[in-house]
Amino acid sequence: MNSRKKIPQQLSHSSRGRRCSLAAVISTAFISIVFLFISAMTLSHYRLGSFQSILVQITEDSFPEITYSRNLHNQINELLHLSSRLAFSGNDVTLRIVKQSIENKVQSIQKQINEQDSNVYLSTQLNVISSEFFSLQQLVQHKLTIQEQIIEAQSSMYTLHEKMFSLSPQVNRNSAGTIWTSAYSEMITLASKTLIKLRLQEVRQVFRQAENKIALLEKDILLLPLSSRTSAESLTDQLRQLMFAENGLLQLKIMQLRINGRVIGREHFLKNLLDDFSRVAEFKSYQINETVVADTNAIIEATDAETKLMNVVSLFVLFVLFSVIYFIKRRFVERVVLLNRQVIARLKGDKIEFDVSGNDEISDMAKAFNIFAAEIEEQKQILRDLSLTDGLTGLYNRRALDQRLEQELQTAARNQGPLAVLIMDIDYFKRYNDIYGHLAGDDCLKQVSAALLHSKRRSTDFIARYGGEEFLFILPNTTPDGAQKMAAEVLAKVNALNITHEGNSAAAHVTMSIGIAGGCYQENLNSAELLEKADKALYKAKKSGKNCIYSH
Amino acid sequence: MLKIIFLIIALLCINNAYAAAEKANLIFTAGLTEIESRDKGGYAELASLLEIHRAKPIPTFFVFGGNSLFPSILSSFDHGTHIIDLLNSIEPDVMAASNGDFAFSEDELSLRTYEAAFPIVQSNTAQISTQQNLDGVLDSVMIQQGKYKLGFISLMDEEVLETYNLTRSSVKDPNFIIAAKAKKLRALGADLIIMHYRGTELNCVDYLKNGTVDLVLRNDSETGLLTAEKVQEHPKQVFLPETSQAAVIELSWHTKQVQTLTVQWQAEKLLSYPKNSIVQRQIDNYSSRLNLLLDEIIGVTSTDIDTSSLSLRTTENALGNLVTDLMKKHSGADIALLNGGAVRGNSFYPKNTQISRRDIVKMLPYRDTVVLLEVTGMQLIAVLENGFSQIKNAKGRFPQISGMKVVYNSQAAAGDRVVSVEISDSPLLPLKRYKLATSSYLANGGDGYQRFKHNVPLTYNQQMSKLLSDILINELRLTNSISPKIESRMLDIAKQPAGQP
Repeated sequence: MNSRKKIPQQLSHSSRGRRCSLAAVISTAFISIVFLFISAMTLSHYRLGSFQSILVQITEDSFPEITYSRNLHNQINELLHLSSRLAFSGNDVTLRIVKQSIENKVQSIQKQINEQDSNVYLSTQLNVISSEFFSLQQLVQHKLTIQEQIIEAQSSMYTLHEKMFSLSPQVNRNSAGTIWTSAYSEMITLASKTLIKLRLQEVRQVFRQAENKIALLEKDILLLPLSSRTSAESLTDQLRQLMFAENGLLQLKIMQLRINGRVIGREHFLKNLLDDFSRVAEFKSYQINETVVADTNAIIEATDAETKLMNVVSLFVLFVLFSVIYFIKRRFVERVVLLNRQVIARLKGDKIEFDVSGNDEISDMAKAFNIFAAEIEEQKQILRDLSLTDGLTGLYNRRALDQRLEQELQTAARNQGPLAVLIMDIDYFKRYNDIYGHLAGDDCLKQVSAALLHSKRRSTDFIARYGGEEFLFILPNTTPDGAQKMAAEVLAKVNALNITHEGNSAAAHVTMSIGIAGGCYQENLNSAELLEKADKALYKAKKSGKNCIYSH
Repeated sequence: MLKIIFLIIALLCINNAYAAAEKANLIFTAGLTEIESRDKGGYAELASLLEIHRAKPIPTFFVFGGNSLFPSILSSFDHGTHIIDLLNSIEPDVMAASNGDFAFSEDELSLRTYEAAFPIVQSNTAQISTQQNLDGVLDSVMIQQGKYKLGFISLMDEEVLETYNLTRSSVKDPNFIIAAKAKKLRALGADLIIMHYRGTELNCVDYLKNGTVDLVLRNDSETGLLTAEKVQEHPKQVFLPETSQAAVIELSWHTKQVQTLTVQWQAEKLLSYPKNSIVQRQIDNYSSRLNLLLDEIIGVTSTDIDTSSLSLRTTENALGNLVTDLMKKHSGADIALLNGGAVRGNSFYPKNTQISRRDIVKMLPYRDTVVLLEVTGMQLIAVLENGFSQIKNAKGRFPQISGMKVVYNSQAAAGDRVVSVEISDSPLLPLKRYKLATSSYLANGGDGYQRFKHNVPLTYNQQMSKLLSDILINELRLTNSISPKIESRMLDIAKQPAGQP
């Protein structure tokens, strides 16, 4: 009963270190894992956020700017194309159409610049471009006018030629006349030749020839028949006018070629202006792009650093996770497994103490198991004791004796040593019971038992109640002499008890007879034989008048 | 028989008596790239000069020595058409195509010949494919004023092909050309043979001495004065610095006796002549076109800027440093190199001068873009050697650099002048590859920078045909002020005082 009262005390927590509750530890572990995951995810989310912002910047600022400048670029390209069309316009209609397209394009660009760009310089440039277009268009207009004038002059030249032919019958009356008319024709051919010349200096050369020729022509008029001189003079004069006057063919042709050159120059000029314009227009989108690129680079760098950080964090999280798992395994799982194993082993009967290290529910369980196990052991012992002792005398019973005798026999056989047994029987005990009653009989048995116990000298000696009033001593390693002595002492002790026994024919008190067996080493001796020998000895002792010892 | 001899003597005497009467004037000028200049004069003044001389009874020839189609702001826009247009008004008898006239490639020069009212002559170049002269350019010409016919040829150095990277042309041997053309012209009845030459390699006096030609006209840039010292003087050789002057040359000789030719000449400043109103109107028409754009003030310089050719082509130049720095920055290169000849203007801007777009376009008139190349250290040395090879003639190939320090010896033999090169404080490694920013002109092999020709340009962030001038303009727009400095990037050990390293 005392041990049971101890249990709650043993299980009380205060006795060992700080209490770490299993629930609290596992909760803390899982909460820390969840916390780590949440932090990692927050970090990723934040990073994704900055990526999003840069993407937004690209889509909201950079792309529109690029589109805008692409648009502008396209329009400028169209203007470039239109400028060559303008330069090579061959007639008024084309010129008008191109002019209209250019005006529309310039207006549209102007509108775009006003909407998108605050760059004043761009507007100035566009103004210059626009006025250049205007000048080029005027120049081309002029070119076309001159072209018409040249065609006109050409046709009047042919008219003159025809007039000369109609005059020729009159002129050709003398040989000088024939020469003159053919020279005039040559003159016309020469003038026509200038019209197909493309280089100014060649035109001038041809006209120089023409000038010489016309001078000769004028000189030769004097040789013509008189009647035709006035007409010939007028024809020559008209031809000179047509070719060399202020607005004559020569000047027209020269002007045409010079204007052609200027048109080429203006076109180059415009092309380069448009190039410059396009570059300035793109400068802004460059700047924006550069900012975006710089931002992107910065983000990339930051991301790089953060990726490294994330890697470290992930590794750390992983490490913590494994640590927690390991910790739980070590702290709980392994201990539960161990406890389980120990319980199973214990069930099998191994004598193992449960490991009760730590201060939590498992250690509590181990402790509880320990307490239960101890209690069971105790009860088992009690049961075992109960089954091997004699209830009345407290000596070992026959079962215990059988076991012990078998053991001692084996020991003796192993040691080749002597083993003696004494069988002791109270004389006339049935009569004692009859005379003094069973209770007194029991009391007598108790007194005799106590006396027997008292005479036991060595711890290895074993005494048991053999049955009714019979007792048995096992005396390992005892010679027949030793056994004799022991028997004598027992006999003396019982006599010394001096328990009155009127029915005893051997004496007035309770006595006993003792049979001794064994005492020498005997090969293959078994318990039955030994006991039989002892029984026989006892029988002899009884026969010999009781209260005596008989050795077999 | 005796009578006949007397007759001949008498005829010769008569001839001699007439001979002294052969007189002609020749006006010669060249290198007029700017159509007008307040402090130098231009085409309007030239027109007046010509008007005055042409009014005289003596036949007057006008020979234009060329080198005028480039560089100028206007010509960078119209490839020189305006110059031809103006020349058409003042009617030269002939124009020699020389140097800058080739700046826009052979084809552009051919186009100009269609626009010109006068012959354009270049005698010793030919198209490689046809062995013919460039389309429209004559190899020689006979010019005539009054009764006099002058045969005209013009020569140039092979270096021009290299300078302007003319890949379709080749230069023929001048000796052969001069003799052949002079002979042909004389056969055609030339009274005198005039040879024009802009260059340094040919010794023209030899041709005068052996009578192949009768008069030599030479012109060269102001820095060409260095050359002028070397030019052997000869009474029949006219050397004109290209500083808005015209040589007024009086020629007199005995009939049929060209060896008796005497040449009297003087250089006259154009500025001393009034402006011809018709030509001036034409000029105004041209110059007003870009005023709106070019007069915009975009910033100020806080240090002196010198764009004289002599400075840019013989030493480290502050503006050269700034421009190459900007090229380097623009393209993200390690180093940058630009030929001194890319910077123009021949002007001086004292500190705190306000800089207009016009100034910058004048400084960087070429429409070259920035090119990024990967070059080895070895290539770089070869390229620098090319740059230093013609210091004595102050040629445009002299390098202006950024990101490196170069020590050279101008007195050593050409090709062996580079002493040491440091790139970002460590010595140049011959096999290491460096990122170099340069102009498209040099990258294509211009100015003898042939070593670049096979390098494939790398792309870079801002790549778009951005002109050198744009980069400077943008820098000024962003910072409002520039301060170019000289910082010992290039050291000529030949110029170091003795005892110093």
